[in-house]
Amino acid sequence: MKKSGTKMQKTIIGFVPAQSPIYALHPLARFVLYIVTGFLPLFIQTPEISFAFIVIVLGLFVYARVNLRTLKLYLPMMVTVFVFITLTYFFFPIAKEESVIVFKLGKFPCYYKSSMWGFCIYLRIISLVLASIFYFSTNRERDIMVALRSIGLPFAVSYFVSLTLRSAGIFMEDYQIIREAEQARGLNTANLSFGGKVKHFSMYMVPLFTLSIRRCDEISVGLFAKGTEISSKINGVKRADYLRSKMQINGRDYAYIVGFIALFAVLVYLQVTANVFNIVKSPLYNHFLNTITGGR
Amino acid sequence: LKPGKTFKTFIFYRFLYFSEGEDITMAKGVWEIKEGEIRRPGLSHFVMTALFTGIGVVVGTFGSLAIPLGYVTAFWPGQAIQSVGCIWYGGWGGIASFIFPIISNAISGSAPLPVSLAYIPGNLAQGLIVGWAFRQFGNDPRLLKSSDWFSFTFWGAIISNVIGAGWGSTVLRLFGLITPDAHLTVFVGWLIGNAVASWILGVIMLKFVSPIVMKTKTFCKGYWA
Repeated sequence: MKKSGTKMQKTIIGFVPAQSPIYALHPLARFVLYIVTGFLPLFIQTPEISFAFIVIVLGLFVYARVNLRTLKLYLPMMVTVFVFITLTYFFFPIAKEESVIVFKLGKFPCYYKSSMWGFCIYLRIISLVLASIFYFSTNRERDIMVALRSIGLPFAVSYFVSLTLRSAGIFMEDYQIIREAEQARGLNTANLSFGGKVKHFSMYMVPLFTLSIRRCDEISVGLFAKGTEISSKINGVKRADYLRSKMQINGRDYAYIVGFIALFAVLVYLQVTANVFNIVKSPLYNHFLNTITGGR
Repeated sequence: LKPGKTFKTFIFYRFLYFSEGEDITMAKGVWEIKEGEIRRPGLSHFVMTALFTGIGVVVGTFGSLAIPLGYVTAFWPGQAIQSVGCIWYGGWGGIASFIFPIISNAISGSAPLPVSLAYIPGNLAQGLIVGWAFRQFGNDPRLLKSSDWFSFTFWGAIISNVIGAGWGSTVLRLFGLITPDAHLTVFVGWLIGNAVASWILGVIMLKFVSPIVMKTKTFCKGYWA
Protein backbone atom coordinates (compact mmCIF):
# COMPACT_ATOMS: atom_id res chain seq x y z
CA MET A 1 0.00 0.00 0.00
CA LYS A 2 2.75 2.35 1.04
CA LYS A 3 4.75 1.43 -2.02
CA SER A 4 1.91 2.23 -4.39
CA GLY A 5 1.23 5.41 -2.42
CA THR A 6 4.65 6.89 -3.16
CA LYS A 7 4.59 5.88 -6.80
CA MET A 8 5.13 8.93 -8.99
CA GLN A 9 3.51 9.57 -12.31
CA LYS A 10 5.10 11.47 -15.19
CA THR A 11 3.37 14.60 -16.34
CA ILE A 12 4.43 16.98 -19.07
CA ILE A 13 6.30 19.27 -16.71
CA GLY A 14 7.40 16.93 -13.95
CA PHE A 15 6.24 14.19 -11.62
CA VAL A 16 3.15 13.96 -9.42
CA PRO A 17 2.09 11.16 -7.04
CA ALA A 18 -0.08 8.53 -8.71
CA GLN A 19 -2.42 8.64 -5.73
CA SER A 20 -2.59 11.37 -3.17
CA PRO A 21 -5.03 12.62 -0.52
CA ILE A 22 -4.45 16.14 -1.85
CA TYR A 23 -6.35 15.18 -5.01
CA ALA A 24 -9.52 15.20 -2.92
CA LEU A 25 -9.21 18.98 -2.92
CA HIS A 26 -10.58 20.79 -5.95
CA PRO A 27 -7.81 22.26 -8.20
CA LEU A 28 -9.03 25.76 -7.37
CA ALA A 29 -8.49 25.14 -3.65
CA ARG A 30 -4.99 23.85 -4.41
CA PHE A 31 -4.33 26.92 -6.55
CA VAL A 32 -5.45 29.24 -3.75
CA LEU A 33 -3.18 27.34 -1.37
CA TYR A 34 -0.33 27.94 -3.83
CA ILE A 35 -1.04 31.67 -4.01
CA VAL A 36 -1.27 31.93 -0.23
CA THR A 37 1.91 29.94 0.42
CA GLY A 38 3.58 31.72 -2.48
CA PHE A 39 3.08 35.17 -0.96
CA LEU A 40 2.82 34.64 2.79
CA PRO A 41 6.59 34.25 3.47
CA LEU A 42 7.09 37.79 2.13
CA PHE A 43 5.45 39.08 5.30
CA ILE A 44 7.47 36.93 7.67
CA GLN A 45 10.85 38.06 8.97
CA THR A 46 11.33 35.90 12.05
CA PRO A 47 13.51 32.86 11.30
CA GLU A 48 11.51 30.60 13.65
CA ILE A 49 8.25 31.21 11.78
CA SER A 50 9.95 30.88 8.39
CA PHE A 51 11.49 27.61 9.51
CA ALA A 52 8.11 26.42 10.79
CA PHE A 53 6.63 27.34 7.43
CA ILE A 54 9.28 25.23 5.65
CA VAL A 55 8.51 22.30 7.96
CA ILE A 56 4.78 22.67 7.26
CA VAL A 57 5.36 22.69 3.49
CA LEU A 58 7.63 19.64 3.79
CA GLY A 59 4.88 18.04 5.85
CA LEU A 60 2.49 18.75 3.01
CA PHE A 61 4.92 16.99 0.65
CA VAL A 62 4.80 13.92 2.88
CA TYR A 63 1.02 14.13 3.32
CA ALA A 64 0.55 14.45 -0.44
CA ARG A 65 2.80 11.38 -0.91
CA VAL A 66 5.29 13.24 -3.07
CA ASN A 67 8.54 11.35 -3.33
CA LEU A 68 10.96 13.58 -1.44
CA ARG A 69 13.83 12.30 -3.57
CA THR A 70 12.56 14.61 -6.33
CA LEU A 71 13.72 17.52 -4.17
CA LYS A 72 17.33 16.44 -4.74
CA LEU A 73 17.13 18.13 -8.11
CA TYR A 74 16.73 21.49 -6.39
CA LEU A 75 19.50 20.95 -3.85
CA PRO A 76 22.31 22.58 -5.92
CA MET A 77 20.13 25.65 -6.39
CA MET A 78 19.41 25.84 -2.65
CA VAL A 79 23.12 25.57 -1.84
CA THR A 80 24.18 28.22 -4.37
CA VAL A 81 21.45 30.58 -3.17
CA PHE A 82 22.71 30.12 0.40
CA VAL A 83 26.30 30.83 -0.64
CA PHE A 84 25.21 33.82 -2.71
CA ILE A 85 23.12 35.40 0.05
CA THR A 86 25.79 34.75 2.68
CA LEU A 87 28.50 36.35 0.56
CA THR A 88 26.25 39.27 -0.39
CA TYR A 89 25.35 40.10 3.21
CA PHE A 90 28.94 39.58 4.33
CA PHE A 91 30.78 41.64 1.72
CA PHE A 92 27.99 44.18 1.13
CA PRO A 93 26.43 44.40 4.60
CA ILE A 94 23.39 46.35 5.66
CA ALA A 95 23.20 48.31 8.93
CA LYS A 96 26.93 49.06 8.95
CA GLU A 97 26.41 51.66 11.63
CA GLU A 98 25.72 48.94 14.21
CA SER A 99 28.56 48.00 16.48
CA VAL A 100 27.85 44.30 16.94
CA ILE A 101 30.50 42.43 15.01
CA VAL A 102 30.50 38.64 15.15
CA PHE A 103 33.99 38.15 13.71
CA LYS A 104 36.38 39.71 11.25
CA LEU A 105 37.75 38.13 8.10
CA GLY A 106 40.76 40.25 7.23
CA LYS A 107 39.42 43.76 6.84
CA PHE A 108 35.83 42.57 6.41
CA PRO A 109 33.74 42.61 9.59
CA CYS A 110 30.77 40.25 9.86
CA TYR A 111 27.93 42.38 11.21
CA TYR A 112 25.37 40.56 13.33
CA LYS A 113 22.26 42.23 11.98
CA SER A 114 23.35 41.88 8.36
CA SER A 115 24.14 38.16 8.79
CA MET A 116 20.85 37.44 10.56
CA TRP A 117 18.87 39.38 8.00
CA GLY A 118 20.63 37.43 5.21
CA PHE A 119 19.72 34.18 6.96
CA CYS A 120 16.07 35.27 7.24
CA ILE A 121 15.99 36.19 3.57
CA TYR A 122 17.40 32.76 2.72
CA LEU A 123 14.70 31.02 4.75
CA ARG A 124 12.10 33.19 3.05
CA ILE A 125 13.35 32.26 -0.41
CA ILE A 126 13.42 28.56 0.41
CA SER A 127 9.85 28.81 1.79
CA LEU A 128 8.65 30.45 -1.41
CA VAL A 129 10.51 28.05 -3.67
CA LEU A 130 9.24 24.99 -1.80
CA ALA A 131 5.67 26.30 -2.07
CA SER A 132 6.14 26.56 -5.81
CA ILE A 133 7.68 23.10 -6.11
CA PHE A 134 4.86 21.66 -4.02
CA TYR A 135 2.23 23.07 -6.35
CA PHE A 136 3.87 21.64 -9.46
CA SER A 137 4.47 18.32 -7.70
CA THR A 138 0.81 17.86 -6.85
CA ASN A 139 -0.99 19.25 -9.87
CA ARG A 140 -1.30 17.81 -13.33
CA GLU A 141 -1.68 20.11 -16.32
CA ARG A 142 -5.42 19.54 -16.37
CA ASP A 143 -5.65 20.60 -12.70
CA ILE A 144 -3.89 23.84 -13.57
CA MET A 145 -6.36 24.37 -16.44
CA VAL A 146 -9.37 23.75 -14.22
CA ALA A 147 -8.01 26.16 -11.60
CA LEU A 148 -7.42 28.89 -14.17
CA ARG A 149 -10.88 28.43 -15.67
CA SER A 150 -12.47 28.37 -12.22
CA ILE A 151 -11.08 31.79 -11.34
CA GLY A 152 -12.76 33.09 -14.48
CA LEU A 153 -9.83 33.53 -16.84
CA PRO A 154 -10.94 33.81 -20.49
CA PHE A 155 -10.89 30.61 -22.51
CA ALA A 156 -8.15 32.03 -24.77
CA VAL A 157 -5.80 32.44 -21.80
CA SER A 158 -6.38 28.99 -20.33
CA TYR A 159 -6.16 27.41 -23.79
CA PHE A 160 -2.92 29.28 -24.38
CA VAL A 161 -1.47 27.96 -21.12
CA SER A 162 -2.53 24.39 -21.93
CA LEU A 163 -1.00 24.64 -25.40
CA THR A 164 2.16 26.07 -23.86
CA LEU A 165 2.50 23.22 -21.37
CA ARG A 166 1.79 20.68 -24.09
CA SER A 167 4.37 22.23 -26.38
CA ALA A 168 6.92 22.20 -23.55
CA GLY A 169 6.32 18.44 -23.37
CA ILE A 170 6.69 18.06 -27.13
CA PHE A 171 9.86 20.12 -27.08
CA MET A 172 11.35 17.96 -24.31
CA GLU A 173 10.51 14.79 -26.24
CA ASP A 174 12.18 16.19 -29.35
CA TYR A 175 15.17 17.22 -27.25
CA GLN A 176 15.47 13.70 -25.89
CA ILE A 177 15.28 12.18 -29.37
CA ILE A 178 18.05 14.46 -30.64
CA ARG A 179 20.23 13.66 -27.62
CA GLU A 180 19.73 9.92 -28.09
CA ALA A 181 20.59 10.25 -31.76
CA GLU A 182 23.80 12.05 -30.80
CA GLN A 183 24.70 9.40 -28.24
CA ALA A 184 24.00 6.68 -30.80
CA ARG A 185 26.57 8.36 -33.03
CA GLY A 186 29.08 8.26 -30.16
CA LEU A 187 29.02 11.85 -28.88
CA ASN A 188 30.06 12.14 -25.25
CA THR A 189 29.12 15.53 -23.84
CA ALA A 190 30.55 14.71 -20.39
CA ASN A 191 34.05 15.57 -21.59
CA LEU A 192 33.07 18.94 -23.01
CA SER A 193 34.29 22.12 -21.33
CA PHE A 194 31.78 24.62 -19.91
CA GLY A 195 32.06 26.77 -23.05
CA GLY A 196 31.69 23.67 -25.18
CA LYS A 197 28.55 22.67 -23.30
CA VAL A 198 27.01 26.12 -23.79
CA LYS A 199 27.83 26.02 -27.51
CA HIS A 200 26.54 22.47 -27.78
CA PHE A 201 23.29 23.37 -26.03
CA SER A 202 22.87 26.29 -28.42
CA MET A 203 23.23 23.99 -31.39
CA TYR A 204 20.24 21.96 -30.20
CA MET A 205 18.06 24.95 -30.98
CA VAL A 206 18.41 24.54 -34.73
CA PRO A 207 16.70 21.14 -35.14
CA LEU A 208 14.33 21.83 -32.25
CA PHE A 209 13.05 25.05 -33.77
CA THR A 210 12.71 23.49 -37.18
CA LEU A 211 10.56 20.75 -35.66
CA SER A 212 8.52 23.31 -33.70
CA ILE A 213 7.78 25.34 -36.81
CA ARG A 214 6.54 22.19 -38.52
CA ARG A 215 4.40 21.32 -35.51
CA CYS A 216 2.98 24.84 -35.40
CA ASP A 217 1.73 24.41 -38.95
CA GLU A 218 0.29 20.98 -38.12
CA ILE A 219 -1.50 22.20 -34.98
CA SER A 220 -2.81 25.36 -36.69
CA VAL A 221 -4.16 23.37 -39.63
CA GLY A 222 -5.66 20.81 -37.22
CA LEU A 223 -7.43 23.51 -35.19
CA PHE A 224 -8.61 25.25 -38.34
CA ALA A 225 -9.93 21.97 -39.76
CA LYS A 226 -11.87 21.35 -36.53
CA GLY A 227 -13.31 24.86 -36.72
CA THR A 228 -11.83 25.78 -33.34
CA GLU A 229 -12.66 29.25 -32.14
CA ILE A 230 -10.47 30.68 -29.42
CA SER A 231 -13.22 32.48 -27.56
CA SER A 232 -15.26 31.95 -24.40
CA LYS A 233 -18.53 32.09 -26.33
CA ILE A 234 -19.57 30.36 -29.52
CA ASN A 235 -22.44 31.99 -31.39
CA GLY A 236 -23.22 33.98 -28.26
CA VAL A 237 -23.50 30.87 -26.09
CA LYS A 238 -21.02 30.10 -23.32
CA ARG A 239 -18.58 27.38 -24.33
CA ALA A 240 -19.15 23.96 -22.72
CA ASP A 241 -16.35 23.02 -20.33
CA TYR A 242 -15.79 19.28 -20.10
CA LEU A 243 -12.96 19.45 -17.58
CA ARG A 244 -14.83 21.64 -15.13
CA SER A 245 -17.92 19.48 -15.44
CA LYS A 246 -15.79 16.49 -14.35
CA MET A 247 -14.28 18.36 -11.40
CA GLN A 248 -17.11 19.97 -9.50
CA ILE A 249 -16.28 22.24 -6.63
CA ASN A 250 -18.16 21.43 -3.40
CA GLY A 251 -18.84 23.03 -0.04
CA ARG A 252 -15.75 21.56 1.60
CA ASP A 253 -13.55 23.08 -1.12
CA TYR A 254 -15.16 26.47 -0.58
CA ALA A 255 -14.52 26.12 3.14
CA TYR A 256 -10.83 25.39 2.50
CA ILE A 257 -10.56 28.34 0.10
CA VAL A 258 -12.14 30.71 2.61
CA GLY A 259 -9.91 29.25 5.34
CA PHE A 260 -6.72 29.76 3.31
CA ILE A 261 -7.64 33.32 2.40
CA ALA A 262 -8.70 34.16 5.97
CA LEU A 263 -5.45 32.76 7.38
CA PHE A 264 -3.48 34.80 4.87
CA ALA A 265 -5.44 37.97 5.64
CA VAL A 266 -5.03 37.56 9.41
CA LEU A 267 -1.28 36.93 9.25
CA VAL A 268 -0.71 39.82 6.85
CA TYR A 269 -2.86 42.09 9.04
CA LEU A 270 -0.86 41.12 12.14
CA GLN A 271 2.42 41.90 10.41
CA VAL A 272 1.30 45.15 8.80
CA THR A 273 -0.39 46.59 11.86
CA ALA A 274 1.57 45.13 14.76
CA ASN A 275 4.85 43.95 13.20
CA VAL A 276 4.35 40.58 14.86
CA PHE A 277 6.79 38.79 12.58
CA ASN A 278 9.49 41.46 12.73
CA ILE A 279 13.02 40.12 13.07
CA VAL A 280 13.76 42.10 16.26
CA LYS A 281 10.89 40.24 17.96
CA SER A 282 12.50 36.91 17.22
CA PRO A 283 13.65 35.03 20.36
CA LEU A 284 16.41 33.38 18.33
CA TYR A 285 17.67 36.74 17.10
CA ASN A 286 17.69 38.19 20.59
CA HIS A 287 19.24 35.07 22.12
CA PHE A 288 22.20 35.15 19.74
CA LEU A 289 22.52 38.91 20.19
CA ASN A 290 22.67 38.52 23.97
CA THR A 291 25.20 35.70 23.64
CA ILE A 292 27.48 37.80 21.45
CA THR A 293 27.18 41.02 23.41
CA GLY A 294 27.07 39.31 26.77
CA GLY A 295 23.71 40.94 27.55
CA ARG A 296 25.10 44.49 27.25
CA LEU B 1 23.86 56.54 -46.85
CA LYS B 2 25.06 53.01 -46.41
CA PRO B 3 27.15 51.46 -43.71
CA GLY B 4 30.73 50.95 -44.77
CA LYS B 5 32.40 47.60 -44.99
CA THR B 6 34.55 47.97 -41.94
CA PHE B 7 33.21 48.05 -38.43
CA LYS B 8 34.73 51.47 -37.70
CA THR B 9 33.16 53.07 -40.75
CA PHE B 10 29.86 51.48 -39.87
CA ILE B 11 29.94 52.87 -36.34
CA PHE B 12 30.83 56.27 -37.78
CA TYR B 13 27.85 56.24 -40.14
CA ARG B 14 25.53 54.90 -37.51
CA PHE B 15 26.30 57.79 -35.18
CA LEU B 16 26.36 60.20 -38.08
CA TYR B 17 22.79 59.58 -38.99
CA PHE B 18 21.70 59.64 -35.41
CA SER B 19 23.29 63.07 -35.08
CA GLU B 20 21.88 64.42 -38.34
CA GLY B 21 18.43 63.14 -37.52
CA GLU B 22 18.03 61.34 -40.83
CA ASP B 23 15.39 58.73 -41.45
CA ILE B 24 16.99 55.57 -40.25
CA THR B 25 14.01 53.49 -41.34
CA MET B 26 14.90 54.03 -44.98
CA ALA B 27 15.86 50.43 -45.70
CA LYS B 28 12.84 48.30 -44.76
CA GLY B 29 14.43 45.18 -46.21
CA VAL B 30 12.69 42.00 -45.18
CA TRP B 31 10.14 43.97 -43.18
CA GLU B 32 8.67 45.69 -46.20
CA ILE B 33 5.08 44.68 -46.90
CA LYS B 34 4.79 44.26 -50.63
CA GLU B 35 1.93 45.59 -52.67
CA GLY B 36 -1.09 43.33 -52.43
CA GLU B 37 0.42 41.38 -49.52
CA ILE B 38 -2.18 40.85 -46.79
CA ARG B 39 -0.90 40.12 -43.30
CA ARG B 40 -3.33 39.57 -40.48
CA PRO B 41 -2.87 38.10 -37.01
CA GLY B 42 -4.52 34.70 -36.88
CA LEU B 43 -4.80 31.30 -35.26
CA SER B 44 -1.33 30.29 -36.41
CA HIS B 45 0.19 33.25 -34.54
CA PHE B 46 -1.66 32.20 -31.40
CA VAL B 47 -0.38 28.63 -31.76
CA MET B 48 3.16 29.74 -32.54
CA THR B 49 3.20 32.01 -29.49
CA ALA B 50 2.11 29.08 -27.31
CA LEU B 51 4.74 26.82 -28.86
CA PHE B 52 7.38 29.47 -28.51
CA THR B 53 6.40 29.99 -24.88
CA GLY B 54 6.71 26.24 -24.37
CA ILE B 55 10.18 26.31 -25.88
CA GLY B 56 11.05 29.19 -23.58
CA VAL B 57 9.77 27.21 -20.59
CA VAL B 58 12.10 24.31 -21.42
CA VAL B 59 15.11 26.45 -22.28
CA GLY B 60 14.55 28.66 -19.21
CA THR B 61 14.07 25.68 -16.89
CA PHE B 62 17.02 23.80 -18.34
CA GLY B 63 19.23 26.87 -18.02
CA SER B 64 18.22 27.42 -14.42
CA LEU B 65 18.71 23.79 -13.41
CA ALA B 66 21.89 23.20 -15.38
CA ILE B 67 23.58 26.28 -13.95
CA PRO B 68 21.84 26.63 -10.59
CA LEU B 69 22.43 30.23 -9.57
CA GLY B 70 18.97 30.61 -8.11
CA TYR B 71 17.23 33.90 -8.60
CA VAL B 72 20.36 35.56 -9.95
CA THR B 73 19.73 34.55 -13.53
CA ALA B 74 23.25 34.99 -14.85
CA PHE B 75 23.97 32.67 -17.80
CA TRP B 76 20.25 32.36 -18.42
CA PRO B 77 19.79 31.22 -22.04
CA GLY B 78 16.08 32.12 -21.90
CA GLN B 79 16.98 35.72 -22.68
CA ALA B 80 17.99 34.71 -26.22
CA ILE B 81 14.52 33.22 -26.70
CA GLN B 82 13.03 36.58 -25.70
CA SER B 83 15.17 38.59 -28.11
CA VAL B 84 14.89 36.23 -31.03
CA GLY B 85 11.17 35.70 -30.44
CA CYS B 86 10.50 39.43 -30.68
CA ILE B 87 12.58 39.72 -33.86
CA TRP B 88 10.65 36.91 -35.55
CA TYR B 89 7.20 37.30 -34.07
CA GLY B 90 7.00 40.93 -32.91
CA GLY B 91 4.37 41.45 -30.23
CA TRP B 92 3.61 37.73 -30.06
CA GLY B 93 7.23 37.16 -29.09
CA GLY B 94 6.75 39.88 -26.48
CA ILE B 95 3.84 37.94 -24.96
CA ALA B 96 5.97 34.81 -24.85
CA SER B 97 8.85 36.83 -23.33
CA PHE B 98 7.05 37.64 -20.13
CA ILE B 99 4.95 34.46 -19.75
CA PHE B 100 7.55 31.74 -20.06
CA PRO B 101 9.87 33.02 -17.29
CA ILE B 102 6.97 32.86 -14.81
CA ILE B 103 6.36 29.18 -15.64
CA SER B 104 10.01 28.16 -15.96
CA ASN B 105 10.99 29.95 -12.73
CA ALA B 106 8.14 28.18 -10.91
CA ILE B 107 9.07 24.75 -12.28
CA SER B 108 12.80 25.09 -11.75
CA GLY B 109 12.36 26.80 -8.40
CA SER B 110 14.85 29.46 -9.45
CA ALA B 111 12.63 32.38 -8.46
CA PRO B 112 9.53 32.56 -6.27
CA LEU B 113 6.19 33.59 -7.77
CA PRO B 114 6.16 37.19 -6.42
CA VAL B 115 9.66 37.80 -7.79
CA SER B 116 8.70 36.30 -11.16
CA LEU B 117 5.66 38.56 -11.35
CA ALA B 118 7.79 41.58 -10.52
CA TYR B 119 10.17 40.62 -13.35
CA ILE B 120 7.35 40.99 -15.96
CA PRO B 121 8.03 44.59 -17.14
CA GLY B 122 11.76 43.87 -17.43
CA ASN B 123 11.21 40.64 -19.34
CA LEU B 124 8.76 42.31 -21.68
CA ALA B 125 11.02 45.30 -22.36
CA GLN B 126 14.19 43.30 -22.84
CA GLY B 127 12.48 41.21 -25.49
CA LEU B 128 10.60 43.97 -27.29
CA ILE B 129 13.50 46.38 -27.60
CA VAL B 130 15.40 44.26 -30.11
CA GLY B 131 12.25 43.44 -32.10
CA TRP B 132 11.59 47.16 -32.37
CA ALA B 133 15.22 47.91 -33.34
CA PHE B 134 15.32 45.31 -36.12
CA ARG B 135 12.12 46.70 -37.65
CA GLN B 136 13.08 50.31 -37.11
CA PHE B 137 16.54 50.01 -38.65
CA GLY B 138 15.60 47.49 -41.32
CA ASN B 139 17.96 44.78 -40.09
CA ASP B 140 17.82 41.29 -41.50
CA PRO B 141 17.14 38.49 -38.97
CA ARG B 142 19.48 36.21 -40.96
CA LEU B 143 22.38 38.48 -39.93
CA LEU B 144 23.62 39.03 -43.47
CA LYS B 145 25.30 42.41 -43.08
CA SER B 146 27.57 43.95 -40.50
CA SER B 147 24.75 46.31 -39.53
CA ASP B 148 22.59 43.28 -38.65
CA TRP B 149 25.34 41.92 -36.43
CA PHE B 150 25.82 45.31 -34.85
CA SER B 151 22.10 45.70 -34.24
CA PHE B 152 21.74 42.30 -32.59
CA THR B 153 24.86 42.77 -30.48
CA PHE B 154 23.96 46.30 -29.45
CA TRP B 155 20.19 46.02 -29.00
CA GLY B 156 19.72 42.28 -28.49
CA ALA B 157 22.67 41.51 -26.24
CA ILE B 158 23.74 44.78 -24.62
CA ILE B 159 20.79 47.19 -24.39
CA SER B 160 18.19 44.50 -23.72
CA ASN B 161 20.33 43.06 -20.95
CA VAL B 162 21.05 46.49 -19.51
CA ILE B 163 17.26 46.86 -19.19
CA GLY B 164 16.77 43.30 -17.95
CA ALA B 165 19.66 43.33 -15.49
CA GLY B 166 18.75 46.84 -14.33
CA TRP B 167 15.14 45.91 -13.69
CA GLY B 168 15.96 42.45 -12.31
CA SER B 169 18.58 43.64 -9.85
CA THR B 170 16.22 46.41 -8.69
CA VAL B 171 13.51 43.82 -8.08
CA LEU B 172 15.95 41.70 -6.07
CA ARG B 173 16.90 44.75 -4.04
CA LEU B 174 13.27 45.63 -3.37
CA PHE B 175 12.61 42.08 -2.18
CA GLY B 176 15.68 42.28 0.05
CA LEU B 177 17.40 39.47 -1.84
CA ILE B 178 20.47 41.62 -2.34
CA THR B 179 21.74 44.48 -0.26
CA PRO B 180 21.81 48.07 -1.62
CA ASP B 181 25.61 47.97 -1.67
CA ALA B 182 25.59 44.81 -3.79
CA HIS B 183 23.24 46.29 -6.39
CA LEU B 184 25.91 47.43 -8.83
CA THR B 185 27.93 44.22 -8.54
CA VAL B 186 24.85 42.07 -9.15
CA PHE B 187 23.82 44.28 -12.06
CA VAL B 188 27.22 43.98 -13.74
CA GLY B 189 27.43 40.22 -13.17
CA TRP B 190 23.90 39.71 -14.44
CA LEU B 191 24.52 41.92 -17.48
CA ILE B 192 27.75 40.23 -18.55
CA GLY B 193 26.54 36.69 -17.84
CA ASN B 194 23.25 37.06 -19.65
CA ALA B 195 24.68 39.09 -22.53
CA VAL B 196 27.25 36.42 -23.33
CA ALA B 197 24.76 33.55 -23.09
CA SER B 198 22.08 35.33 -25.08
CA TRP B 199 24.53 36.49 -27.74
CA ILE B 200 25.88 32.97 -28.38
CA LEU B 201 22.45 31.33 -28.44
CA GLY B 202 20.79 34.22 -30.27
CA VAL B 203 23.36 34.36 -33.06
CA ILE B 204 23.07 30.62 -33.69
CA MET B 205 19.27 30.80 -33.78
CA LEU B 206 19.15 33.85 -36.01
CA LYS B 207 21.82 32.62 -38.39
CA PHE B 208 20.50 29.09 -38.86
CA VAL B 209 16.78 29.21 -38.07
CA SER B 210 15.80 32.65 -39.44
CA PRO B 211 15.86 31.49 -43.08
CA ILE B 212 13.28 28.83 -42.18
CA VAL B 213 11.15 31.08 -39.94
CA MET B 214 10.99 33.81 -42.57
CA LYS B 215 9.36 31.43 -45.02
CA THR B 216 6.50 30.65 -42.62
CA LYS B 217 3.30 32.65 -42.39
CA THR B 218 3.78 33.22 -38.69
CA PHE B 219 6.81 35.43 -39.32
CA CYS B 220 5.72 38.99 -38.48
CA LYS B 221 6.86 41.80 -40.71
CA GLY B 222 4.88 44.20 -38.58
CA TYR B 223 4.32 43.92 -34.84
CA TRP B 224 1.35 41.53 -35.00
CA ALA B 225 1.47 39.95 -38.47
